[in-house]
Amino acid sequence: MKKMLVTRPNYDKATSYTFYYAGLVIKEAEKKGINVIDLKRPRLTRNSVTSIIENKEPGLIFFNAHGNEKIIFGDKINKEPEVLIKEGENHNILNFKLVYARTCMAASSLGKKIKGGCFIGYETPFSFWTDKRIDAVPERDKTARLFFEPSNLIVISLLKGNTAEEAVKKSANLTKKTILKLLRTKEEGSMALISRLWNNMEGICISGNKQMTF
Amino acid sequence: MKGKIDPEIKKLILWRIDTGVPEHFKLVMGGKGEVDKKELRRHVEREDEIGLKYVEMELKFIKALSSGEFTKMLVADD
Repeated sequence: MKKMLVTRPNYDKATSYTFYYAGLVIKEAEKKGINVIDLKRPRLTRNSVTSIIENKEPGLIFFNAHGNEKIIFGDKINKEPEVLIKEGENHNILNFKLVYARTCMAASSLGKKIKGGCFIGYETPFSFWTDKRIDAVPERDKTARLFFEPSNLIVISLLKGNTAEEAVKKSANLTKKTILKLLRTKEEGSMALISRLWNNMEGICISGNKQMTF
Repeated sequence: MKGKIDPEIKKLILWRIDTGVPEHFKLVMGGKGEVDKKELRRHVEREDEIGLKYVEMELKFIKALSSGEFTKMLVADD
């Protein structure tokens, strides 16, 4: 049975949205009979991530977290985000893996150090607008949905057997359709939405084997 | 941190915030937290880390518009 590892911290606005949207991907995966290892509090720790990657060998790893050029974070431990993966320290555990990191910046350096696999991530901050009128309830926030649907589509496409390159292309096409729709409808704030959608789309980078599949 | 943004560019970005960002929008920019329109404006005014990053992203988009890169992406075949 195919296995997918998902990390889902949930301790601030950004992670509350990634937590919710990663949950939708998990539902899709489970419908397809994929064994999903869903790491969230209290199981989301560096030790458990390392152990699962080394011992259970998931074919797809989906990180949802904060990050930077060299680090992917996990949950907050003792009020500080725990470092799950750090370049030069333990990035080798991602070698030969298919990874999608919904984190800021990790593709600009860390992702390029992974050998023999494929790392999909962002070279820029992953940013999105939310609608503060609905008080940060991700499932009701139609504004944020515009940003998360193309991001989720990357993993959903990988679950369907698409290559990494095809998955990213499908995501970009969905973003393009959203931008065109916004241009037609002249929705309030459309240019603010379009510019951030553009940034996220342009910030996606695939390192390694673009033909890799799950 | 002061004086890092060209004054004319700063004016342009502030204008884009004033005219293009609805009052009910909040921007989430990775681990930098969330900011509403007024706060975003203040960050750009101060030229702090969030303000500089926002200006950088906006400039990238404006350059894509002016170079034709953005339009080229929209008309490209899927």
